[in-house]
Amino acid sequence: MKLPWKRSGAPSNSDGDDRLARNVLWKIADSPASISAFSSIIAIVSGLIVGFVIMLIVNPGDAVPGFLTILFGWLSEGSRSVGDMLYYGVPIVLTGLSVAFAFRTGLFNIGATGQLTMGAFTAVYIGVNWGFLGAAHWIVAVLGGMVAGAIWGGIAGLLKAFRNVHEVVSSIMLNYIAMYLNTMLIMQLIYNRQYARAVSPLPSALIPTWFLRDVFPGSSVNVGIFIAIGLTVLLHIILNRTVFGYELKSVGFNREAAKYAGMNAKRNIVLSMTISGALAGIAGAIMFLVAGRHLEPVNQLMQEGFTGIAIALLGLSAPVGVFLAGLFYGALEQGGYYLQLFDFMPEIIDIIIAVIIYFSAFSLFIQAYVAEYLRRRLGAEVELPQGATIK
Amino acid sequence: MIYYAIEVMAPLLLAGLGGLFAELAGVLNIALEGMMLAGAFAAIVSASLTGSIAAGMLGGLIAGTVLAYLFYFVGIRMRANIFIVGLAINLLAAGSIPFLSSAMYGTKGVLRLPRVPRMPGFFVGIETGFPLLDQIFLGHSFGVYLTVPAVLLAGLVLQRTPFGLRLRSTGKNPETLRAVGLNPDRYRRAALLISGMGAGLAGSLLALRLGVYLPNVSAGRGWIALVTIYLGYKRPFGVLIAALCFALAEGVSVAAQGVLQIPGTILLGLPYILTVLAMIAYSAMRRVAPSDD
Repeated sequence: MKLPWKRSGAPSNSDGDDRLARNVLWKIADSPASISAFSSIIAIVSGLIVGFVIMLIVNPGDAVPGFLTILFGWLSEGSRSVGDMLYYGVPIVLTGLSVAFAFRTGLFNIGATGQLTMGAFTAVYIGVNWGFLGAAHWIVAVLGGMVAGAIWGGIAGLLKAFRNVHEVVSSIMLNYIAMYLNTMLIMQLIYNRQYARAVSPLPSALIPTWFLRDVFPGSSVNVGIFIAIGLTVLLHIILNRTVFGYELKSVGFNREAAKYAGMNAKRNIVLSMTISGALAGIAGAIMFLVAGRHLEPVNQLMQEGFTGIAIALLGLSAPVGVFLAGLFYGALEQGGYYLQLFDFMPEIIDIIIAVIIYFSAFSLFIQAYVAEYLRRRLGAEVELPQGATIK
Repeated sequence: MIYYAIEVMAPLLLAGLGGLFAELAGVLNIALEGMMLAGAFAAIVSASLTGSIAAGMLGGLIAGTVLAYLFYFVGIRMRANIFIVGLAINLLAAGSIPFLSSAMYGTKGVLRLPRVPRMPGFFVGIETGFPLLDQIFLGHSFGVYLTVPAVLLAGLVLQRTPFGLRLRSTGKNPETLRAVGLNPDRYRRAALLISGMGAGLAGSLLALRLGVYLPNVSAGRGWIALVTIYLGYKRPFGVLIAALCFALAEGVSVAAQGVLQIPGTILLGLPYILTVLAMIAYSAMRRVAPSDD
């Protein structure tokens, strides 16, 4: 493979600067994880650069303050905007975890949107009708959303495991089925004719804010952030510290080898999609068990599921990485909110996200590039992150 | 109602036929939706700039092809995950069109531009005495008549030419292609570009028929086009039948909404349910042991 920056001859390491650089490079080369992180950073930076260039073209005068608003808008109003950043970030963290979990087990869950929709409807339905539950109401509603999402994800898993239907195709179909089902069920069961939307959940079903209301006054942040943190830790432990997680990863890495080692590949595929769907279902519940947010009977796919794919990629499919990437998204979203102060459209955020996804799509390629560069520079073999190859 | 269904079918069929090429070459093009949207927008813009329908359709075709090339470059050439690339292209189209629209014309809503000509109708005013036949065959816009040669051409190219054979082998087993000294990537590229053309043209039909660009004018038709590929058992005539079925379902649901007050969503969701069932049946019929991709 030809590299544009390939040098002829070994670099001299006589001067101190170069030795320092080599030391840093050795540090990077030492761990595959840092090579992966590097590619995520490249993707994010590329997205931001494209966004900045567009802003320069549209409105050169305000481009710099506008761009700073995107990046740091979440700090502009102190604890309130930080709280809102968390509020926007939580559902994306959860859908990101959903997609990442499936990724780690070799499955591409493009159906997070449908699972989220089913979770949202079920949670709101319980939230509207099961007021007798009292203090446990919101917990049951969230659990209901989780179960609905799990079922929706499990269907795709079953089809993949037993009928060999590609999970991407079946999930796309299930997304649309969920979308239409959602519209139909809202109209039939919980329709508020006056406002042409779903009935608001009872106050007892809303996600509580506990002490967060006092820490982040005026913001919409709620206990969902703790759910997101808890699930991030839980998934980290499952994937890295348990036999179950090891089996799931093995099946994802090499299904035949896993079977040979006595693992039940089919069962693991179904379980993986079910857990992935459950996470997306929780995201749906948390998104809509909030005052002032309503399910609407519109035939439109919810974008949060797709954003989750980008977040999973940026977070390198590792739970902690996904958590950070999700909060980064929340910050961008919050920055986009303030962007309207200037003469910019919030759609710029969408373009930035799209470019980030586009670049993260070939993150494996970038990783291979980086590893190759390090190899030439250091004259040593560099262990590649899982899956990265040079073709 | 049948007249309306035939009009709905045309863009669906063109996008589906294009997507069929990609699917047969082993590249699932989930970016059809974004390509259609870009095609619709480009068609209205170029029709307004030139005052010509033909230029509008060409604009749509080019927009779809450009996106398809982006898809090819990262997804095939750079070996990235094609689903993520497809998703990124959909998002790119959905994000940049409102942006371009407001930068160029100051609105991100309905784009009603001057000098966009009306789509010409053909065989208008002729009657055969059979109303049903009239509704199916006569008085439609130009795009509908375009689908007939498109289906025939697709069938001919895929089944009767060396190019079609090689394209299909690319999807089935790229190694055979390599073994005879051919580069599978070239066929994947050709297939993707064809699917981009089909989707772009389909988008231009959607917009030019209305004479305006509506936000999200494709409204999921790109995904339904994917559905028609599977429902049509990956054959051009099958895609035709599937697109027709879906168009009729939409015609019925639109008509039913007006008359019966039942939610047409039940019928609109039907094609997706059918697709899942068709795929289950397909895998059962092939009797292959479930294996890895």
